[in-house]
Parts: sequence; structure tokens; C-alpha cells
Amino acid sequence: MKRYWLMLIFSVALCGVAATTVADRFRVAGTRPDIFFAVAVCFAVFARRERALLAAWLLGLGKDLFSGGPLGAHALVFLAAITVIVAVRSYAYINVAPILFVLAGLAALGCECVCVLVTFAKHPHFALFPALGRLPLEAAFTALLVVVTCAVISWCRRWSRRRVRVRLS
Amino acid sequence: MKAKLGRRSRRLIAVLVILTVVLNALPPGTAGTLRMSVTLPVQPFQWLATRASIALAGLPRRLTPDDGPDVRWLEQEVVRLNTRVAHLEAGLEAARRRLESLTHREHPGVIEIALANVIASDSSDWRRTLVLDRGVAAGVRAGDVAVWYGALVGRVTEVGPKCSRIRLLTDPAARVAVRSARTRAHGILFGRGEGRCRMRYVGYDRDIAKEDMLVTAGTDGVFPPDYLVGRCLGSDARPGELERRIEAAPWISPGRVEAVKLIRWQAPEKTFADGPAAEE
Repeated sequence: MKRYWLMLIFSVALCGVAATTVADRFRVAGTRPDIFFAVAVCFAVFARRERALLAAWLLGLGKDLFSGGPLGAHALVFLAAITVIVAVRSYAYINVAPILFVLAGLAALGCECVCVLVTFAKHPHFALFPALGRLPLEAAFTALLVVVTCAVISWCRRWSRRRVRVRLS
Repeated sequence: MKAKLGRRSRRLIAVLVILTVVLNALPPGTAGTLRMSVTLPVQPFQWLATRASIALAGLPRRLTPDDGPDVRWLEQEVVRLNTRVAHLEAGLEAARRRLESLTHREHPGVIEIALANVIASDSSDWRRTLVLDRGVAAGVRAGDVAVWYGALVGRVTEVGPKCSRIRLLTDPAARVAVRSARTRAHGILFGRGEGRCRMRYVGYDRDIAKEDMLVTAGTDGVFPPDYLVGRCLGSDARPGELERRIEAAPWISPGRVEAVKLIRWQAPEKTFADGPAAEE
């Protein structure tokens, strides 16, 4: 459990540094992937249900801490999205690239839609339609990041299991 | 795995939702201090990552053969050299103050606080804020104004021990009282979040044209007057409407800001500090 907490805190810090520096400078077509959400989906794919929900909330809170928006907004939205993904995981094996891409893309799209609408409701001068127009591309980047990250994690787990088997034999 | 959420999961979700509501209900000052304090340990890494990504972004230009001056590269070089000049000027100014014990004043009532580097941007795509590497230790306070070579960049909203956050002009929560430099038509500039702003409360009979420069009016008691804010991109008055629709772009592009000067302005007693231009 202690190792899990350390991993969570390290993930939040790493996502914070990457999202506010590198990802912002190297945008593609004016968009960048939502690194916090991508890592939350990876936790939803590999971790147990309660740990995945806690990770989603903490990563959402981390995104709020590194942002100038209201505290707790992304935490709630991430929690809702990951609850849905965890429920879908009970019915289908989602660690398959196409399914994971579609699921993560739809979840990212839903999260960002909610955030955009909340921002527009609070600030009526916010440019709503340009923001909504960017959402599909951003969701696609996020989904791609999720697929790549999950593939790397799966490969690392298989490689470590193989090493353990070789040592035991 | 069970399809429905178990009792433990439901309890966990309830606790997290309650925690979220409590965090959301915190006063803005407390939330800002909490943010700056919690993110303090990662700020050196943010500074390092920002410098590395700036250097990486300029690498292709340095490696490819020089076919001739590229406008974009020249603009980036100008920004880089301006930043270096500003740092040298700040060092010179600090030395002069130590020798003469005088305060350099940019504008009557304006006090220079510090020169700060940008170390991080906003993690959300819908907000426009920057994190600076100067905080309470350097004398920065919430409400201080960020400027760069006579142009307005934003305003300090959160301050931590060694860092602070500024809200840019294009942030959806930003409001600035502005006027046209040519015709003196007054209005309020609202950030729209996509690199653009909208100027409102300008009567349909007021004269504001495309490419007009907008400067701070100083009537809101927040921003000192006569700082360049942006330029008008288009202005039209539709039949039946009482105000003009004016789109504007900020003078300083948010993506190009690498350093800012923080100043504090003491508004004269006669300005209306409670007017409609006061920020949220």
C-alpha cells in the first residue's frame, strides 16, 4: 500500500511537470493530450477498483492544483469518468488497443466537454465553439497516449514476470 | 470482478465527493496558498523542464543550414534577447539601488517589485495562467500587475513562499478597463480563453476601428493607466444593438512570455475601485 501511495504521488508530480512545461510548448495543431487523464485511465485498466477510483480523484486534484481554475472540478469529473471505465471493465476485456482507444477517447471527450461547459457557464464570454471544435483532436491524442502507455506497462509487466521465472528455474 | 459498485467503492466515492465539495468551498486566498505550497517541491523541475523545452524548440533552427532570415526565428531571438537584456537591466538596477538607495519609478504611483521568470503554464486547456519563480520572499503580493516593456501581461492571483501565479489577459476570468489610444473610447476587455479578448460596453456610436491600439484606462483602480493591452481585430455595430462588438488580440502573445516585471500601483483616491471593471 505504501508503494502504491508513493507511485501515485510520483505520478501526479510527473504529470504536473510534463503537462505544464513540455506538453504546453510542443503542441500539435494547438492541442495537447491530457496527461493526467491518460494516467488515470491506465490506473483504471491495471489497478483494483478502489485504487483506480482513488487514483482518478488524486490525479484530477493534481490537475486542479497545477491549474488556475476551481479546486476540485477535475477531481469530480475524473472520478465520474473512471467509475464508468471501471464498470465497463467488469463486462469486457478493455486492454485491447482498439477498444481501449475508443473507450479512453470517449471518456476524455466527455470529461473535457463537461469542463468546457462549466467554464462557459461561469464565464459567458468564453469562446465556446472554438473550444468544442478542438475537443475531438485532443481526445484522440489523449486516447493514443493511453494506448501507448498501457502497451508499455503491459510489456514491462510481462518482462518482469519472465525474469522472475528465469530466476526461479 | 463484480459489475456493480460494492459498498466499499460507494463509501469511497461519497468520501471523495465530500472532500471535493470542501476543497471547492475554500476561500480563493486559502485555495491559492494551498496550491502554491503543495506544488512548491516540483517547481525546480518545472523550471528545468521549461528551460530544456525552450532549448529543444530552438534546436532545429540551429542545426539546419541557414537559408536566410526566418521571421518566426527572428521573433523568437528578439524575445530571447529582450529577456536577457531585462535580466541585465534588473541586475544593474539592483546595484544602483544598493549604491544610491533610490527607488526607480516607471510611472507615477508605480513601484517595481521584482523581475520573474515563467516556469510553468496552466495544466488546463481552458485557463490561461502562468507560474512565476518569485513569491512572498521577493515581496510579491496578490494583486500585483505583470508587465513587459510597457505592455500589460496579467495580474498576480495566487502567491506562495517562492512562486506566484498570474492570470493572463486571455483567461476567461480576466477583466481590464481599457480605452482606445486613438479615440479614447472606453470599455471593458474580457478574456475569451482562445488567445483572443472581447471589448464590451462600448457604445455603438463610439469610434473604434481595426488595428486601433488599446491601452489600460486606469479607471478600475487595478491596473495602472497607459499600458499597452492589445489591438483591435474588428469592430462592428449591428442594427438594434446598443453596444459595439469588438474583438481584440493581446499585445504580448501568451506563448512567447518567458519573463515579466511585477509592479504595484497605488491608485489615486479619485478612481472608482468598485466599478464594473473589478475582477472576480
